[in-house]
Amino acid sequence: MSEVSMESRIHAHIDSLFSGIAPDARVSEVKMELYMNTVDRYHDLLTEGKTPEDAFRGATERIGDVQEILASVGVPVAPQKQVNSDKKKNNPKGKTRKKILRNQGCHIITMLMLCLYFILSFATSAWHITWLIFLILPAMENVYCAIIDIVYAKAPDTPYVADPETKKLHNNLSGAIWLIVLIVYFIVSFTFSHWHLTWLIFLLGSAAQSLMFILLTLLTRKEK
Amino acid sequence: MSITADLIRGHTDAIILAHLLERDSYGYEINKAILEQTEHRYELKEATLYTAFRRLEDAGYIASYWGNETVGARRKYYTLTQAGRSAFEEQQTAWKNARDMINKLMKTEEHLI
Repeated sequence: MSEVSMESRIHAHIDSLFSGIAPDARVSEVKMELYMNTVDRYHDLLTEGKTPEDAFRGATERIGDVQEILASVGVPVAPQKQVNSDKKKNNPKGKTRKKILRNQGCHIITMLMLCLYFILSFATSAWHITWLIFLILPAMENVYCAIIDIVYAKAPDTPYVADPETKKLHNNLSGAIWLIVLIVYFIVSFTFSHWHLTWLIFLLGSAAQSLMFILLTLLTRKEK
Repeated sequence: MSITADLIRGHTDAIILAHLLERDSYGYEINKAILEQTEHRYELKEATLYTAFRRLEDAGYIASYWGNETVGARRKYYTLTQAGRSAFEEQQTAWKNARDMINKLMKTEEHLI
C-alpha cells in the first residue's frame, strides 16, 4: 500500500473514533496531534520490519480511549454517543438479547395464532368470523413486547454474541426439532388422514424452534 | 509493574520538562524517548501525555507551536519556557530529597531480599 493511502487510512480510522463529537478548535488540535502520533508510530513500526498491515494495527491499537483523551484536554463528551459507536463496532448485526426475546417471542405468538385460526375454522367452519383473529394478532404482539420491556427494563441490553458451542447446540437442536416434526407429521397424517390440519404441525415446529432459541439465550446469560 | 507505573506517572510533568531541557520536541518523540530510556518497561498513555501537556501549558511552563510541515500533517511542538526551566529545577531537587528520604525510611539499601 502506498504511503499516502496508508496515511489516509489512519486518518479515516481516527475520524471514525471521533465521530459524534462536536468539532471545535480544541478537538481538531487534539485530533491532529493524535493523527501525527499515530502516523509516526506507524512509520516506526515499519522501520522495525513490520508489514504495513501489522504496523497499521499496532499503531492504531495504542490509541486508547478517545473519551479519556478528550477529557484530558477539557472537552466535555456526552457519554451516550461513545457507547453507541462502541456497540456498533462489537455487534454489527445489532443483535441484543432483548431483541432476540422480542422477535422470537412474537414469532411464537404468530405461529400459535395461525394454528388456532385453522383449528377453529375447520372445527366450526365459521371462516367468516375466525379471520378476526388476525386483527388481534398485532395487539397481542405489542402486549408481549411491552411485557418483555417492563420485565427486563432494569437489565442491561447486552449484545448477543453466540460462541461456537452455543451455535452448534442451536443447530443440532433445530435439526432434531424438524426431524421430530416431520416424523410426527407423517405418523399423525397417515393415522388420522386429516391432512388439511396436520400440516399445522410445521407451524408448531417453527414455534418450538423459536422457543428453543429464547431458552438458549436466557440460559447462556445465566452462565455468564 | 503497575505499582511502579503509578509511582512514575505522578512525575509525568517533571519527566516531560526534563525532556524539553535540551531541545523542543513533540508528543510522539517524547513518548518514544521514555520507552527507550526505560528499556520499554514504562510507556505513557496518550491521555496521560495530553493531560500533562495541557497542565504544563496552563501553568506557563511550556509553550506550543505548530511545525511547518504540510497543513494536513502538522506536528505540535513544545518548548520549555523560562518559568518551566526554574520549575523543573525545583522539581528535580524535590525529587532528589524525597528519594533520599524514602530510601532511608524504606531501608532500600539495607534490606537485601
